[in-house]
Amino acid sequence: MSEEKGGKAPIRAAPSTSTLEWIVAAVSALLVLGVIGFLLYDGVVSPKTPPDVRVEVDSIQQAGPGFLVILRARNDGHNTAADVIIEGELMADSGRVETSETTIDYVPAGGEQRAGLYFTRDPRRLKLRLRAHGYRDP
Amino acid sequence: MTMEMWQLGFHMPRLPLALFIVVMIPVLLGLEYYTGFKESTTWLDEVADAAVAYGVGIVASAVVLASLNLISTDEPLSSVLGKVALQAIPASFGAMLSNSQFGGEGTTERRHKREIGYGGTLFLMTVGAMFLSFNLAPTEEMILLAFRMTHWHAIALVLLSLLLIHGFVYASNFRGSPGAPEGVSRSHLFLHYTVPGYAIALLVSAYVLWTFGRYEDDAVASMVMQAVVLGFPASIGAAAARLVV
Repeated sequence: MSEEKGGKAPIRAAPSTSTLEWIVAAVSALLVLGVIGFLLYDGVVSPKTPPDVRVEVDSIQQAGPGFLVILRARNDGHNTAADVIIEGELMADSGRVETSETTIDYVPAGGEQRAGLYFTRDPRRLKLRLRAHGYRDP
Repeated sequence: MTMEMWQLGFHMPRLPLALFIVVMIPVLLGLEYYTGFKESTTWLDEVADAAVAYGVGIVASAVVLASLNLISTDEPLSSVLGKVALQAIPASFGAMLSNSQFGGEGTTERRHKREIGYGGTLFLMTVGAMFLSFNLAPTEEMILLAFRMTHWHAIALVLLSLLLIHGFVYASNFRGSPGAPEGVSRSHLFLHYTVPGYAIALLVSAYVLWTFGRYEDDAVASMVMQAVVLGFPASIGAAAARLVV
C-alpha cells in the first residue's frame, strides 16, 4: 500500500506492515469464505429432515434420598426441536412403578443436550425406559 | 438488565468466565492506550486508568445488582461473584469509554488522540465487536434465531454483514480516517478493512458464545449459524467502533 500513498501522506506503512496487512487480509478472507463455503455445503448436502430425538442413559447416581438418571438427548434430524418433553418410566415385573419427566428447551439439529430425571426407586434394579414425547418447531 | 445476564451469573461455566475477565485486562489497557487524551502518560498511568475503569465497573455492578435485589447475603458466594463479575464486564467498558468521551473536557486544551494505525484499527474493531456481542450473546433470541434460520438465510446474513461493514469503512474513509488513507481503491478497503472486520466479528462472536456456554452441544452447523447471527450485531460494533473512538 506504500506505493498507492505516493509522497503526500506521511510514510507510515513500512514493508513489514504491508506484508502483515496482506497476511491479515488473506487469513480473514479464508475464514469468511470458509464460513460461506461450509454453509453452502451443509445446506446442499443435509436434507431438511424433521427432528429425530433419541434419548439414552448417561449415568445413574444417588441423589439425596433418591436417584438421579442423567440422560443425553441426541437429535439426528436436520431441524432443531424445541420444548422436547422426555419421560422416564421404571418398570417392574408387575408393570410401571414410577415415572418422571423433564423438558429440554432446545435440542439443536445434529446436537446433543443433557438433562436429569429424579426417581425415588433405584433405576439400576428396575427396567428403565426413556423416550421423547414430542417437540415443537423453534 | 435482561434476565439472562443475572441468570447466567450463577450457571454459566466458571472457567470461561474467569478467562473472559482476564481477557478484559489487555482489552481495557488497549482501549486506554488508544482513547486516552494525554500524550505524555507513562505506561503506569495507563495501567492505573484501566484498573480504575475495571474497579468502577465492579463496584457499580455490585451496587446496581444489590439495588435491584438480584444479589443478597443468603445466596452462595459463587453466585454473587458470578453475577457481579459478569455485569462488571460491560460496566467497565462503559466506564472506560465515558472516561475517553468526557475525560478531556476539564482541561484547557483537548490534546490529540494517539495515531491509530492498522493494528489499532483492527484492535478497535475487536473491542467494538466484543462490546455489542457480549451484550447480545446471553439472550435466548440469538440461539432461537439461529435455530429458525436455514443455511440460505445465514448466507444472506453473511453478505449483509459484509455490506454493512463496508458501508461504514467506506464512509469513514472519507472522514479522513488515518487508518484508511484517501485515494485507495474500494477493493483495497474491502480486502484490508471490511473482510478482516467481519472475520473479527465472527471470531469474537464464537468466542463470546463459547464463554456463555452456547457451544456445549457438538453440532458444527448450529455453532456456525449462531456465530453468523451474533456476527451481524458484532459487525456493527466492529465497524462503528472506529468512528466512535
